[in-house]
Amino acid sequence: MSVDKINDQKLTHDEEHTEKGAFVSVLLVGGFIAILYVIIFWVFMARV
Amino acid sequence: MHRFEKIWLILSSALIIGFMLVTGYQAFALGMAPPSHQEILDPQKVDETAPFDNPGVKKIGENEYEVVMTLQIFSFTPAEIEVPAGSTVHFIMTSKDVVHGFQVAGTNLNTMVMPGYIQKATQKFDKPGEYLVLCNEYCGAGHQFMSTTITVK
Amino acid sequence: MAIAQSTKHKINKSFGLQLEDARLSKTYFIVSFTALLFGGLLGLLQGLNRAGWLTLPSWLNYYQVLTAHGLFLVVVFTAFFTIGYFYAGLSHTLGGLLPKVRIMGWIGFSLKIIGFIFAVVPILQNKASVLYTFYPPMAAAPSFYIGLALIVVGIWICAFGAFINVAHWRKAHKGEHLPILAFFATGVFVLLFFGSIPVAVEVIVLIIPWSFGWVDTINVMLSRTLFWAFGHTLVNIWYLTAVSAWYVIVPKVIGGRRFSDLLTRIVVILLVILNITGGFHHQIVDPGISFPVKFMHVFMSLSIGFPSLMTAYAMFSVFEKTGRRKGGKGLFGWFKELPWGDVRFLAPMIAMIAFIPAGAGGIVQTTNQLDQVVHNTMWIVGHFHLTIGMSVVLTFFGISYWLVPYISGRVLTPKMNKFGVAQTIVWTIAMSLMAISMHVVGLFGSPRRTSFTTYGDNVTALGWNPYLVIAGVGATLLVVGVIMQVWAVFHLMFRAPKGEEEFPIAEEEENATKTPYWTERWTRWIVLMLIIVGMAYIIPLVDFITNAPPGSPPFKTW
Repeated sequence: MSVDKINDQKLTHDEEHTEKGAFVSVLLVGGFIAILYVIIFWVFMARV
Repeated sequence: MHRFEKIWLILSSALIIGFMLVTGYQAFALGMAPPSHQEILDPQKVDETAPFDNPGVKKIGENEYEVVMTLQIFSFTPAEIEVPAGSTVHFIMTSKDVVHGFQVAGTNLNTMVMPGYIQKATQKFDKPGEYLVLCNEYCGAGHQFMSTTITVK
Repeated sequence: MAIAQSTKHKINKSFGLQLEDARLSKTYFIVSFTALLFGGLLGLLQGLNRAGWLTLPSWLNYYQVLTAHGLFLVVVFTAFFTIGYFYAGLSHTLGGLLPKVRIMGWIGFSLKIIGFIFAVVPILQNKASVLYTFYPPMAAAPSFYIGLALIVVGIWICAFGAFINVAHWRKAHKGEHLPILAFFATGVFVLLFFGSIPVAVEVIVLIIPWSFGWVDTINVMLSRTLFWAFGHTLVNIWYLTAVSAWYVIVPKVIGGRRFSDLLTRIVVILLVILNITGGFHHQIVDPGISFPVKFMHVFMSLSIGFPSLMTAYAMFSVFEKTGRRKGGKGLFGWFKELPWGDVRFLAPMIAMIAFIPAGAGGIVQTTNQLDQVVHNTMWIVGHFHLTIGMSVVLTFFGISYWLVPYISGRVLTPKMNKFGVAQTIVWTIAMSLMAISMHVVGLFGSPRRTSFTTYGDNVTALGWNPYLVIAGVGATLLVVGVIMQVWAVFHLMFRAPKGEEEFPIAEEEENATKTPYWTERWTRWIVLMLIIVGMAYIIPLVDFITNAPPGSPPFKTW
């Protein structure tokens, strides 16, 4: 914890970049939702 | 709020609104809305109420058929349906007792058939074959036997 | 003696554990996990039957088993767990339950047990094989419905107990924010109360007089709609309960900090406001509802997805921050830094991952006509075994590994932790096998709630069998998971070494901004919720009542 405090400057700088992984992860989630929608949409249209 | 989070919230809202728009277009412009017929009858007098006093398959036009169908434990009336390939079939259905489901495997025909309500659904059968029709809402001890077929020749 | 007791009391107070409150929660958990055991065994019978391996004896109907499976797992197991968990949470974060609230907890408990007995006896006698959705005009014995009504009243009493405790705390802590776990609890109990009003009206006003024969017929559509206003809310309540652990407990377990307090509270508020109207999507292919109304409901239904998508970001962000502080490098290096060997993390983590396909499936199948592809097929069964059977249940299991020893004055030993990890892996494999094969076979048309059948050796139906066999294998393995879990809970409650287990509640970030006080205005959120419910339901309900067909008499079709 104390180390964090000393590197406060550095930490805020890091914060700018630290959520990249989370962002890419949620994009994958969104992509999965979109793909599933497309698949079921395609099944629906194929059966019309 | 983190910048990435804002982007994500915008993207995910866009995703959902996109689904709404596509589905809305499909439903309202292309006429593919889910079966939602609004017409009522007395569920205890189905046999005396037209058109269900005379269930069966009727040819109503070039490659166009009308099936008046009653669902009851644990069967569909008429049982065997036969239409030529390429026909458009309009189903007019009601239940004589409990809630039933009407599903034709491999097609988009999938709807609830409730006592007191007339449900309508339409499907074009292009590919010849035998289609399995089944009840997909639990309706009693013989629910698993409630099925019939549509033969497309 | 008195001195000894008061010292003991003081010691426990300093632990934060109130023995009397702990006894209440423990009793709830005993019932909850016993229900899991029975419900799981019944699930095995269904899985084996649908795989074509087991013909049920004539005295045990498939649909009787299914009714009991639903009641045991989606009502008893979940409700008793949720109340036990949140009562323990309220006790821990608000400094103990008020004596009268504890009494209400016991009264609620007794009513639910009495109600459960009333409901389960006719099921055993095969007089109530109507499934847990009990759609009229199928009519069970009246005592089944009386039992359900008593369970609802029992839940209401617990909800009001929670409200009283929260109000008491707020009076003593003017201007302070409700502790976050108590905030979640408030949201859950608000939903439990308002969400179960429709089913109470359905059962008490419509069904009970009809099942006794005091009135001849019932409005089928009205009862069905009232049921789903409750039914979907209920499963979302279990989900919100799981979410509380994701936001509050998991960050502490992994040695991190909580996600933004304000956004967490907004997620709770949104889930409370938007939830009840979601139930309508169960009626997308019903007759008697115009499709503009259905389309409006699709929007309402999808809007529940929004707070969940916020949650997805929140969770990844907490994991990334924590993982990076522990030295994770690169885009995904932080992933490896998470404590995968800790069951208190692993179980809820897999639960969260499972919610990705589960939520995605939900978004797709609720989208109006796309529902026709999957409505009432095995896809739906696969869907709720992912959402409830994995996202919710694995989170509950994860909670049980620390909460049960905590309230029992015992500890989670490294050995039991390993056992829990093994249990989680068994569960994950089993449920994945079952849920995936159910989704696939549903797309091919296999219907839900149907005992083993080939429809007279129909070729299409025969093609489903391999998938149903995989589901049967999954169900068999799941029972192994159930037995392991139930054993673990009872071991942690009565046999594990004595000691003091942690109640993990994560702190906010050190530089966190202060949450504005408007989040605490529950009256405002409840009014908003009621407005949304009104927008969603007034038009269709008035329509179902004024344009109703002649009603239906009761049927016993089994």
